[in-house]
Amino acid sequence: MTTRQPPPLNRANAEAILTGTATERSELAQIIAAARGSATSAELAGEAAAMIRFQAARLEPAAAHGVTVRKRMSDKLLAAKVGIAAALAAAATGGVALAAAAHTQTEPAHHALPASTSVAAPSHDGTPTPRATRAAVPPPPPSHAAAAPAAPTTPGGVGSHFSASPSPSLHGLCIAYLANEITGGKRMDNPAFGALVTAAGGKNKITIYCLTLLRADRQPTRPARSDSIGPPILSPGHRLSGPPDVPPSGPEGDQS
Amino acid sequence: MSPARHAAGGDPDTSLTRAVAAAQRGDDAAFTQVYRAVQPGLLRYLTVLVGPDGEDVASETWAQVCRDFSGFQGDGDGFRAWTATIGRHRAMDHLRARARRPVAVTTLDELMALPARDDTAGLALESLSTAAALRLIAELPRDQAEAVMLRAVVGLDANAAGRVLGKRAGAVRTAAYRGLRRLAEQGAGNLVDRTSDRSRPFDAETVR
Repeated sequence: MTTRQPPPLNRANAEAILTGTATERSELAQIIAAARGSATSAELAGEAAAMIRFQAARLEPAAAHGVTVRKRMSDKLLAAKVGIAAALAAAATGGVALAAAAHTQTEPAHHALPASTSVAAPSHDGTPTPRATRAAVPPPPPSHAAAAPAAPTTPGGVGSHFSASPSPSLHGLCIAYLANEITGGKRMDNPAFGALVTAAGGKNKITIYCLTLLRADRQPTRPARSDSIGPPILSPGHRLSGPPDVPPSGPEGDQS
Repeated sequence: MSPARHAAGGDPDTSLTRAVAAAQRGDDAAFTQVYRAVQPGLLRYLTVLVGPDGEDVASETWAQVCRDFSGFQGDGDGFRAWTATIGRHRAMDHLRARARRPVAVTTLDELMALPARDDTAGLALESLSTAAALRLIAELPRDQAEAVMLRAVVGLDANAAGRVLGKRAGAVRTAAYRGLRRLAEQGAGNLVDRTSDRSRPFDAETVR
């Protein structure tokens, strides 16, 4: 113990302690300093998953339209992603795995989405993986429900859309890998990921590699870059089931 | 870098403001910057609120943040407050849901992989771990713990913390002050001296 007699606390030094500007070395100041200690890698473990969601939300603002994306949805998404991983494990090769995954993931949580293509997947919380697998997808139509059956993409024709991409199988593996990462699965257990390790140049580089790969593939397929953040995510249909609890403009409206 | 803006020196919030704006334009690297600046403090705040499920709640929080990101308007400080507000709502939902089902009480120790008590007692105060400090704060009455966390760890001023909590700034100052007093009274000495009692995060029954 360095100090057994902390200086008396008053409003002034309390503020200094709270804001980290205190010069004293009291126990209290050290407790607060410890609470505010450097970030650990464990605390940032969700970064890849957050990035996926960020990219998905940017890519697919329509996904937020009319979809009741509440917390329970993430469970459904994860179930769908587990399906991808299962498909991968069963098929064991990238291209086949992707096709299988595409079929698998259209099932579980796809009720409310504008199913613009056969490969469109259950991105209820906005995971970009399925979207990243396709090319030449038209912009979301104004009316999702009406336009859904008119999707132009050939069912199952996944591989044919990857003309600008390194390899369809790597895409599939990346999708499965990233999905598995979201679910916290044991992604490296499957030998099928060996190709990813090789392509990425190491196990610890796979996430970066995959994000880069999927993003690079995505770029030429999108009609216009500016569309990505065009439509407001907070659409009228976004929270029809209840009052918005958090206004996007800031916390001022918080009532709780 | 510290999760709190105050401790990093300079004015990181200027860079956070820029990063938030760039991320809203679709800049992935900027989003990474935003995440790394905000997540540690957010996660610690949520962990103090809900305990071991803090990571899940943080994940839910980021999912909502990402969805609504393009609609956000404000600077870096505002973004911290916004994410904290979303996180708090998700945490309250979580606690309400937990209150409706039996749950094994898990301690912060287990979550944060704290050293064993014997080891903890041997630590010099200088090496007081973040986890141990959070455990102490989590033992405060919740309003005090929240005020301390939002101000000291998330890095909000009293006004912004008040908006997160739905309180006036003065009430936040008072709660934080009382929390500090209590920490000073029982804080590190308590941490080192006690051997048996186990801390735990706020129980669901404290949620109204």
